[in-house]
Amino acid sequence: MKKIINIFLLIVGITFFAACSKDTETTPDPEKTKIAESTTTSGLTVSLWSDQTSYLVAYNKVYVQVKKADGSSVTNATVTYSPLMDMTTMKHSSPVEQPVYNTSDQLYEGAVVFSMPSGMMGSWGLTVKVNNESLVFNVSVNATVTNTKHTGTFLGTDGKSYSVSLVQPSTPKIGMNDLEILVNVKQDMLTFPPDAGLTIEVTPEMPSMGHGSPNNVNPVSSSNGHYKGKVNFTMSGDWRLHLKLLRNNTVIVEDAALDLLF
Amino acid sequence: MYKKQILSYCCALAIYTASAQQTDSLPGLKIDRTLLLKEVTIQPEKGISQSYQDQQRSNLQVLTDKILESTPGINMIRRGNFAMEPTIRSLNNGQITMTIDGMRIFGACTDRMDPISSYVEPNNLESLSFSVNPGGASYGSSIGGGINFKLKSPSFTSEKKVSGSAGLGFESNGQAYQSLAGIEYSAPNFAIQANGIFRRSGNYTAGNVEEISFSQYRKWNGNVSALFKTSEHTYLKTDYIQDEGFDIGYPALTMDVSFAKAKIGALSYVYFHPEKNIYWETKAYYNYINHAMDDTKRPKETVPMHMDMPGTSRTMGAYSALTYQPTLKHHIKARLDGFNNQLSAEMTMYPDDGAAMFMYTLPDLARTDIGLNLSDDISLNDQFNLQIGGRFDYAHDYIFSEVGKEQLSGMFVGDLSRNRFITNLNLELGYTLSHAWKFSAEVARAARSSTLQEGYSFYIYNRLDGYDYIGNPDLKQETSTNVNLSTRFHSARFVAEVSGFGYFFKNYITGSLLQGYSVMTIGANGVKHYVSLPSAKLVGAELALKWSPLDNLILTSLNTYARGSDNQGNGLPMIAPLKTVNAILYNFKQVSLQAESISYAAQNNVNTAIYGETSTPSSTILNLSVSKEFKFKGSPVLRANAGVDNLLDREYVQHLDIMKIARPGRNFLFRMTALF
Ligand SMILES: [Cu+2]
Repeated sequence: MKKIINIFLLIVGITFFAACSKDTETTPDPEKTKIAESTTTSGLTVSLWSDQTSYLVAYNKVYVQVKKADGSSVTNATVTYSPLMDMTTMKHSSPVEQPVYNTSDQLYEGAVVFSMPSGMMGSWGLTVKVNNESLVFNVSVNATVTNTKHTGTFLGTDGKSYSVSLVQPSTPKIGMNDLEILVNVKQDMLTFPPDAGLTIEVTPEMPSMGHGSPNNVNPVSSSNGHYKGKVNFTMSGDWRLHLKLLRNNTVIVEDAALDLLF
Repeated sequence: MYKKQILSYCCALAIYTASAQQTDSLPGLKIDRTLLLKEVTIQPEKGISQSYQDQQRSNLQVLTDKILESTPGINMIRRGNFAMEPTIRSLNNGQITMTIDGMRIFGACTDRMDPISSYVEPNNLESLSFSVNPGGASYGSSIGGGINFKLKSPSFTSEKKVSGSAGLGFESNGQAYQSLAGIEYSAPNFAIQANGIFRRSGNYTAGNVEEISFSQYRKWNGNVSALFKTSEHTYLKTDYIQDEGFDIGYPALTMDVSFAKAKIGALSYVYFHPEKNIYWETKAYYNYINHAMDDTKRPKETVPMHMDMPGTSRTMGAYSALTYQPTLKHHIKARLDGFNNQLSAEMTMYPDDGAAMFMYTLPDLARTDIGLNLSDDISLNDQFNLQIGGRFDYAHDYIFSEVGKEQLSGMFVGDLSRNRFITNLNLELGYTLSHAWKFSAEVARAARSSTLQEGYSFYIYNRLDGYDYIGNPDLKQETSTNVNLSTRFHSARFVAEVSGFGYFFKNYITGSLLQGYSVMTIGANGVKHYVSLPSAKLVGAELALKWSPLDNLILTSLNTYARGSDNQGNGLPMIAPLKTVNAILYNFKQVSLQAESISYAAQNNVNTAIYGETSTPSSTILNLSVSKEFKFKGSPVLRANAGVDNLLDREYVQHLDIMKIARPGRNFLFRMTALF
């Protein structure tokens, strides 16, 4: 029943949002999709939102909405989350960027790199902690479109395992695109700190034809393991980003290849 | 005041007369005719010369390409058996200006499959006028002048009158045929004409009995033109042409054309006052070219990946042109014109596995141009005349869509719109020594902007050198100092004309290798972009001789030579070698007989490493023809001709033939046209 009311409220909210953007109702951007919702013992309604219709095997923005029973937003909660993949024989986490409150859309905004889809192999649980109250959400993570790869794990020449994920472009276009890559290094099954100390060289390629593109700018470390550069897509279609990871001029990963399609 | 003009179809075979001929120029203007290309007007229908070629052309069936091809100074770049691209003294593309009735039209094909000459037909042409003069007489800024295809117009008559034409032609090689029909209604205050032609050809056979696959074509062309008299000195004119080609093969290219369509419309207002020697035309026009290439009919093994490559070109423009002769000493022309052209072309590639790939090859490019022409032809005295002219253009190039800008953001930095002021100036001094001898000297300062393709191309494959081309928005204007010296001698039975010319370029636009770029076209040699060479030159000479030892016998010899070299002394590409056309024409009663030989010397002044060209051997072919005009009571006329081209069935190519695909072998032609 509550769900129905919520959906009803959501629809009303969207209508109001569309009709009047100054509406004070705390409804996120209608482009976002609510993935899950639960209520803490103290009565806070916590919901998870995504930019897509579901979370994907990729770098995902994960938004958390916290509301009181009267519907008003909680703006000063301490929110953290941690993903966990339960594969019965083993459990592992994945890279995560803890959420920070964003006043403009009244959401706690962070990111999770889901490294594999949920399914036969196991299922993803996202533990969200709001002011010391924990909620566990079972989230389904879908694979990206066939023949694409937005995140990958690559074994480095130093024996460490690196997670390399595409942050930008989220909606690629023909022409020059902002390129943003996130690199995390695996410390143990549950800890994937960002690695900001690498040099990255990018070489795009269209595998169907074997050609590349000119004028790309190698991504350089900006903060928290994010590297920013430029990538030039001369056509739409399948593109492979060959990323070479170096540390102090030593090649760590020769070809961390990510595939995208637009 | 002397004006160098040639009437009739072909300068080569025109009958020289010192008497004045009426053209679109003002009454009283004395027109002097020349064998060589200066400012030449070729009239398909009106030049009632006895020459075979005139009759052949007056049957309205010969392809515009063929008319152009047989004109001295013009050579055609050939990619197939249809839609050849004219060059003037081997200058081409952006170096010359091609217009239809003064209207700017730009082909939509990225592979230059559709020069605008392919959108007009002899049955809607009044004349073709050529100019090597880049200044006051031109329709746009250029290095080497241009070609204007003047459309046929109906005319007012004092009494109501209906006339028409119909024709049928057949060619043995390629099983080609054409049929045409036209009708005209004239009255004192209203006149209208409609013309249509249909052509088709199968694959032709080259000289060694080898069928050239993908050399077929099919097209139709229709036009309607109407005049409405609005007052004693004014009338309104509308023109509409629609030209649609289908299934056109380009054996020299990797793709054919599924369709090439043009819609060309114009509305003009004309003020004319013969007593005051004023002719003033103001016109607004629009044209739309839609072009689609096709590789689906090619053998699978020759198509590494299926592609769609459509393109469009839209041009909207207007001009106001005034011809005014205040006294016998001045002949003033002024013209203000403007146009906006939008080009868009795209490519979608379909790999066997993997997603389709899309990009713009011409990413929504546009140019707005405003130009002013001024010229005066001044008779200084009986011996000297001086022509001064200038053209001043302001051109604004830009990208008209966001997607276009975004795509180019990967290639070029910053705002890509460009503004240019372009100045063309010319000065000509003519000297008449005696009735027999004449001399003239011309100098011109020519300039042209890079074309939109040269500015912003996105991996356009050039079949000539096998490179993908990327534009360069920062190209400087290509400029040239042109020098032309000519002499003419004539006596009662003999005419000789010699001229020497030189084009001394600065910032000559050509391709240059881009290192480290990967090719877009499968199998391409690499990627080039357009650059400006500091200098280049093109020098040459033309010699024309005509001798009529008997009243009904004419011998002509036309010889053209040009040599181009860049700043390093390397031979420039697409320069035709020495060409000599020798003909003998015999008229007897209503019958004309003609034999002609067309020879090209070998072209060895090429640079394969830089321009991708290879040398071409010499060639000679022999053509014969006979024609007869039958006159009937009243005014009906039946013109019939028969001929054979390449009588000896030689296998040959010419230097401007892309990929050196052999030209047609022996071809028997039969044509019949009735005018009533
Ligand atoms: Cu084409």
